Amino acid sequence: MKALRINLKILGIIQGVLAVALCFFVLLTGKLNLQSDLLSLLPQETNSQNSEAETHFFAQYKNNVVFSLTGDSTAQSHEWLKVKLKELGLEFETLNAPTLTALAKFYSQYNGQLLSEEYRAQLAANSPLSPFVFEYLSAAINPILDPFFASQPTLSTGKFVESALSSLPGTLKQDGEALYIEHEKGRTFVIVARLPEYASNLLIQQQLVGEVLEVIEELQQQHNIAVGYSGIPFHNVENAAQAQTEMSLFGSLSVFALLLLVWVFFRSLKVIWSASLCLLVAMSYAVIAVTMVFGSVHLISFVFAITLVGIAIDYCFHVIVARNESKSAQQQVFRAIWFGCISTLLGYSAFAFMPLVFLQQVAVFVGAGLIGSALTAYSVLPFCIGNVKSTRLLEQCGQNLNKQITTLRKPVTIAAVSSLVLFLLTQTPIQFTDSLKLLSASSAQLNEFEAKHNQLIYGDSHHRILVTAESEQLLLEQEEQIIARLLNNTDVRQISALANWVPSISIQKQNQALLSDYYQTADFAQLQSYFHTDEQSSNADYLTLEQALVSPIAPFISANLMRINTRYVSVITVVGADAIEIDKQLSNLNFAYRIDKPAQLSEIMQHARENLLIWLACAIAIFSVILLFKAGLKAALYGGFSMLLCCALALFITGMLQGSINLFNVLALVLIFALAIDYFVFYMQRGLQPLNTMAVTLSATSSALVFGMLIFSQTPAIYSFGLTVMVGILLIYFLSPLMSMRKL
Amino acid sequence: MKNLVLFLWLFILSFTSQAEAELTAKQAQQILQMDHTELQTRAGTFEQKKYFKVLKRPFVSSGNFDIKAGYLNWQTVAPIQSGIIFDDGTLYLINSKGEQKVAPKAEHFAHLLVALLQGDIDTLSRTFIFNQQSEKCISLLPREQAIAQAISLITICSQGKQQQISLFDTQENRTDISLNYAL
Repeated sequence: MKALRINLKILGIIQGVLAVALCFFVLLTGKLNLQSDLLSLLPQETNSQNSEAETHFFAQYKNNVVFSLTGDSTAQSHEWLKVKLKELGLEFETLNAPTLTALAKFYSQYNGQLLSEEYRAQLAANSPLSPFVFEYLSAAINPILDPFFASQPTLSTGKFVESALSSLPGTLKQDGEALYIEHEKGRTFVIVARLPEYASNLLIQQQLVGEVLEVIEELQQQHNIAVGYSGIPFHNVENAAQAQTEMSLFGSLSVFALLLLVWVFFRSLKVIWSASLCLLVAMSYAVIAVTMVFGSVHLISFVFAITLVGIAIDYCFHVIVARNESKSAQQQVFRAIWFGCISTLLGYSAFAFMPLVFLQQVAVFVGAGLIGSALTAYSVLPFCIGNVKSTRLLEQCGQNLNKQITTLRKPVTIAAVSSLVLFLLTQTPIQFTDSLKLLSASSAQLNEFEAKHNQLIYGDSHHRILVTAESEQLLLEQEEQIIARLLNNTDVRQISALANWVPSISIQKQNQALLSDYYQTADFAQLQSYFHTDEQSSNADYLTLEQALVSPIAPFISANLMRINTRYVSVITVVGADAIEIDKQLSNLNFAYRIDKPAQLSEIMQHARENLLIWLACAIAIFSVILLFKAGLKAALYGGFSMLLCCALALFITGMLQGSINLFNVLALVLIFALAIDYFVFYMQRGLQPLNTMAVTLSATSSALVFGMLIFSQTPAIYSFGLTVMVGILLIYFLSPLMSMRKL
Repeated sequence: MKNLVLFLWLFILSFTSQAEAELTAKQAQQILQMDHTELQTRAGTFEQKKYFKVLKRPFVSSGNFDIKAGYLNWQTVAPIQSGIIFDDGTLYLINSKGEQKVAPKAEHFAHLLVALLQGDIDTLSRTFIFNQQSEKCISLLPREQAIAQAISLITICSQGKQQQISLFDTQENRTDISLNYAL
């Protein structure tokens, strides 16, 4: 027996040392990548092809940043800022727009095949084109049409290009290379830039963004000018800084508070050291597991995962408190610890099935950490702590608590049930809100800049439509179908699509036929009499996307066209039309849909939340059935009812405090369920023994402290999670002693 | 040797000539005898002739105009009704059916056109280099590449209440605009 215990101790030490050494190796060699990219938080969607297209489309903009300058001497400040940003390595988003001469030279190859909507409607109605030509000739100058007039006096190609240029989204005006918008107080200049590719690394991005903010600060101090900034990199850096602060603060405060708790009740450095060792091994297991499974971890996962500290230490408390008890009592404790570990693991396993990758990271992190903690508590801790000093203080506290528990058992139960009834009568139906904003800790100022820049660049609200097809021509035809529907049935102001620049071959053929017919008319004969040039029907090849992508118009189309496996995907930008109107026009088209990332992600989170609630109800039912077989009907009823009561009250209370419930409140219920099983099992196994009561009290206190710290987080998801767990733990702590009469 | 000296002399002279020919805004105003304040609120008639290489004969159009501070109404009456309205920073085009719409991507040229017609030499001096062409005429060369792509040269000649503006594009086409300011 002694040999077995020594072997266990040696194995425990070996596993602990290995775990800690490996953890240091992982951290020092940088094998674990830290992420703060907001895009990587997005839930995974079931339609992977569309998801891939959207990811590809949005990824182009992940390094984009926008600056706006408003105030005095904005023109000079704009130039100064551009120079400074260039010195820092930023690249500028010049469209590399072709000259009008280059456009005319390119499109003139396809004279006779390209018509604007206006010209097509005119020709289809057998109406003359001469008024358009005379209007052009009556204008003093028209720099867009001038280069086209020499090669095609009817201006059919020129009008097509003029129409395409006017479809480019954006309200910004251009003065040389400067983008600006006029308002009554002058001009607001806008700079669109991009961080270099090497700045995708979090540390480099943080440094670069910091330097950019210093430059902005310097500019604002020297001049009476307000500089706005926006873009995903700024959000990433702000959220990363917040997460790092919270991680350090909550982590260190949690550890300090727990060790203080240990000191208050045990007054032993050996016990503190042993508990710290347990936590260190737990964290080492967690870091190794998440590195092996994911290779990288999002900073927000770390903030959630700090809660491992509060749960891992529970095992220490139970072992330490029972150290001076009989061997059989200690064996009971170990069985209860393993049972509790498994139940908590099962609770966190629900996270692994969530569509949010960072929750899967939390599940692996905490799960591995709990296994490490349980192993260490079981194998090494008893030898480390030796004989615990007199637990008289603990026993006295435990006895006092038991008296209170026994006295308050009925009133607490009645109060809990009454509260539930009151909530059911006054707080139903519960409001649910799930949105991506829950995951963002960006400051109000940054969100304000983001909204302002969207307004500056796009003006009216804009929407994007994703179109997919098996071939280029089909893609263009589908775009044309959508454009026609939107123009005829909505209040759309502007549509930017590939088909604006490259009509489908079927449309080009129609255009050819319309123009050929027009060339036989008297109106054309009258126009021809003005010109030396003899305009004729075209025999040129048709314009295709393939040709366009290696032409001067490539910058206008390449960003909105993707090839994913065998499919062609494009994005149409629509300005001015209502989302509902657009959805109505797309409702019976299976090749296109309006991209509404926030709404899609909210829907995914809503489904996850609903499934979790069902999962929870089933879990409570299964738990009750297990109790039924193990401890009888009354135990099953008490257990099931307490669990249900606790979860429902936790939901109602947090709903009242927050205003609505979200996915993270429900995730917290899963954890409360898992922790509640721990407390139930300990009370059912050991009843209201003073030391048991104290162990459960210390566990609940440590967990409430650690989870309670999360309510100070600036990230709404973390706040919601922490609040519900804290409320739930307090409720379970008062309700779980009901189980002390029922023995397993 | 003599030829070399002559060549050097002419070479140096050409620089000084250029330096002397480049005018300030004030000098340009004096040559044209234009009072910008007076021209800020004016009305009158115009005749425009387009000499495009592709046209067999000049295209002639005529109409009337009305200018106020920050506002221009340019109405073509013959051979076809059409118009341009520039109001509060936005350029509108009116077609032969009387439909009005915002001009696409041409605001920068709209500002230039309004400045030209208003005789706003100060605004024009930021975009063009002035040179004296004759006693009552100046030429304007674009400073910016973006303008030079569309306009290679402008000449303005002024005599009393009449003004002649000629625009030359990069294809060697010319547009002559004759303005008659009403009393």
